[in-house]
Amino acid sequence: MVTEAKVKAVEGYEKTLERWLGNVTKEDVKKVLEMVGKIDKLPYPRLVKLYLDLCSYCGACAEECHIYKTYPKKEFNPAYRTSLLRSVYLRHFTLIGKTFRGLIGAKELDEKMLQEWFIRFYQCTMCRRCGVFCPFGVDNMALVRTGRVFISAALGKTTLDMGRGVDSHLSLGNASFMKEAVFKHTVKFWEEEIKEKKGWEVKVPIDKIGAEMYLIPPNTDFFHSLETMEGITAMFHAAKADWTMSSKIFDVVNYGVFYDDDVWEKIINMHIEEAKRLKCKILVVGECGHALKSLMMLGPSLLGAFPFKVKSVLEVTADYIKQGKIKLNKEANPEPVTYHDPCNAARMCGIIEEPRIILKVVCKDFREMVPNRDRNYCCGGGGGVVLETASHDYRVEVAGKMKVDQIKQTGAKIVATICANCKVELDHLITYHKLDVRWAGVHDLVLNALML
Amino acid sequence: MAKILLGGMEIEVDEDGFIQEPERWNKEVAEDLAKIEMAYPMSDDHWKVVNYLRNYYLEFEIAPPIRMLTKQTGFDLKYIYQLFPRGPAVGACKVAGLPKPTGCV
Amino acid sequence: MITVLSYLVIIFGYIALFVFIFGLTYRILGWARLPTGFYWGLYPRPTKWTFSSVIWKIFALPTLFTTDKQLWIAAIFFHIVLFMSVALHFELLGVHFGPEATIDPIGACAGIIALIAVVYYIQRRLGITRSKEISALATHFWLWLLLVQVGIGTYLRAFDVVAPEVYSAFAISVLTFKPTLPPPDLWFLFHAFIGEMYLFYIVFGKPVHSIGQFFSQYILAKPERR
Repeated sequence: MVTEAKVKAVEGYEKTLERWLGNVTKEDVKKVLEMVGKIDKLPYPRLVKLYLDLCSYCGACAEECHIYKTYPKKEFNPAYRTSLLRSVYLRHFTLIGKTFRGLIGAKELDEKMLQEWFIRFYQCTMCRRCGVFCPFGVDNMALVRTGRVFISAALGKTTLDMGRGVDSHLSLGNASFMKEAVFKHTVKFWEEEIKEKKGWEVKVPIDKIGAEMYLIPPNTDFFHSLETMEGITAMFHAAKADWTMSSKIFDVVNYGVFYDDDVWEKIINMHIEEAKRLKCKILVVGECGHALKSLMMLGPSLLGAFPFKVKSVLEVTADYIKQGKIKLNKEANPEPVTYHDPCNAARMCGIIEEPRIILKVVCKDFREMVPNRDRNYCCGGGGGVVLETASHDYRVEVAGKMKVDQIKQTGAKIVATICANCKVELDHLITYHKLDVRWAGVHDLVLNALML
Repeated sequence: MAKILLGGMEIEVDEDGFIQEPERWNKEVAEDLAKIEMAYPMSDDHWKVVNYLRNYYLEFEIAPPIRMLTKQTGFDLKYIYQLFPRGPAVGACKVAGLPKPTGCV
Repeated sequence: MITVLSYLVIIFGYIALFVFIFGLTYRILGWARLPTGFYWGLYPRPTKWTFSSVIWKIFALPTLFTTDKQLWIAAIFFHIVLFMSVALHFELLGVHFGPEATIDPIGACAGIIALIAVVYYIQRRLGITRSKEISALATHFWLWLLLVQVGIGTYLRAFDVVAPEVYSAFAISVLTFKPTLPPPDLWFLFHAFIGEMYLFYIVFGKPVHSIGQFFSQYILAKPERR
């Protein structure tokens, strides 16, 4: 049901998005249109072209979209969202679009349309669930991203906090204005925490050249979910792993994934260069969704194979469990636990069974959400939407509503996940909807269960 | 960027209401910000959180990890949400006169 | 009227055939020449059987079955009878799939099923909000026209209006560039003309999904390069 609160939340965020884009001129429209004309120059032109051509507007995607199902209005229909791009492409770059125009749904790109683009493309959480269910294999997310890329490349515009994060990243090497001293201070703090909780003397190896594994967590974990870092550190300690972190590049976040190819390439190069400098064999991505996508999938396919492997920390821990390298005690996590599949980790990178392998040995009572795995619903904060303070009401009222119902149904007391974005969004959902649940990283629970 | 009246002074704030001139922060400014953040009147516990954030910020120019905050103040996250309904990152940091934390926070 | 339509069918037939062959080739090459670039697959992903999984997804529509069972039934039946009807038209070129007496009833039955499916499609576009709100005028036009086309086709089959030898001779004459005048039946001429319009439409409109899907499903199912 569309309540008044939902209407208000959506309208509020739409106004904010409109303001962020600011006034658009005819000149701006021309610049963006020029970008649309250069589809062939994108790093992934074939799929964009196909997705522009193939949609038949059957509406199957809308039935599977968490946003449309919570708030069924035309503008939230995934096919409508991407039709904004499709109709403009038709109108300006195809013969039949130029001839028949509105009759076949072709629309001119004008100032108003550009505003619509910005709002609709940044409302999507890019979860790709509709891509799973499209009978023609059309992945709306790729088009949404393409639309964002056009606006960013032509006008340099994106949402407020994402832009700030990228500014910080390009100048300091991390998205949160964090300096080396803060990183080292934080490391010391979590080492002490492990000592207090476990009684273990643990040192985080920093800048160790030639270590087998180079761990880069999302730096959200430092601020928001330090227990995850403690868990990963303790896990490596228990397994006697040869690992290191870097004092320069300690943030695996790469917001370019969400909206801009140049930004993406600059940031991923930071990660690659640092991994080369440290001469690691495996680059281990911490509990982060979109960074996995960036480093595992997008990176090698565009920049060529890396001289090191990329793994998720979940794979590492699951391997240790299979090899019997770490001992875990289920009794340490007696409460019922459920697992939220982050879209990027599950649908995009196939980190689906690893967290389950882990959770089944660290928790007494593990419950699945329905639907789960690659068909899981988005938490509501994907695609960079959660980065914005201004999107809070939209996220908790509309985008994350399905997730709230899903969590309630399991009856679990802890909802574990492996993505920093999702953790923040779950935190907001739980607080706003007053759920009797707490969120945790999978490695938070590993920390409790670890034994030497 | 807009200017708003806080503690009797015109202070520049960003679009989410975080003050842009951290050196002009004082007790009255904090209380006015607390009114905006639904954290008024401020109890000793409010001040404990705010002072901790403030001191950490003066040393490191950034907000501390939430875990550090909860440990040093002895309050859990739920209680911090009770004190500052918009949470540690948006609510408490704003009252303490910090710039807005960036990243998935 | 009949004379005008006769010439129209012949001339437009050549244009449509030209556009169909070259337009479709152009489109396919257009997709094929572009690089895939970013790896953009979706899990779960077949480890060995990429090809068969793509074929399965295209012909069985397993995800549509989960999403919308009514639409799945309509889509499956519609496409089966559509292919049947199109295949039966090869008797134009002298290819016969069975004895004359069975072909017409089979064709008529297929036509009736197609009619039901098209009516369902139209009903859906008009009645189901999530589909209605995104349908352009052209989509409705082609759906309604399909209703007319299938209707006429079924009528021609059911009442055996034109003898197959007659229109087969006409089709062959056109294809061998020695066109003769078509059989002077108004319904037949309409049917032929609309059919030629659809040859056009396949290239420019929604029916390109029949070919494009093979590319798009492969992108999603492509084995990873990790």
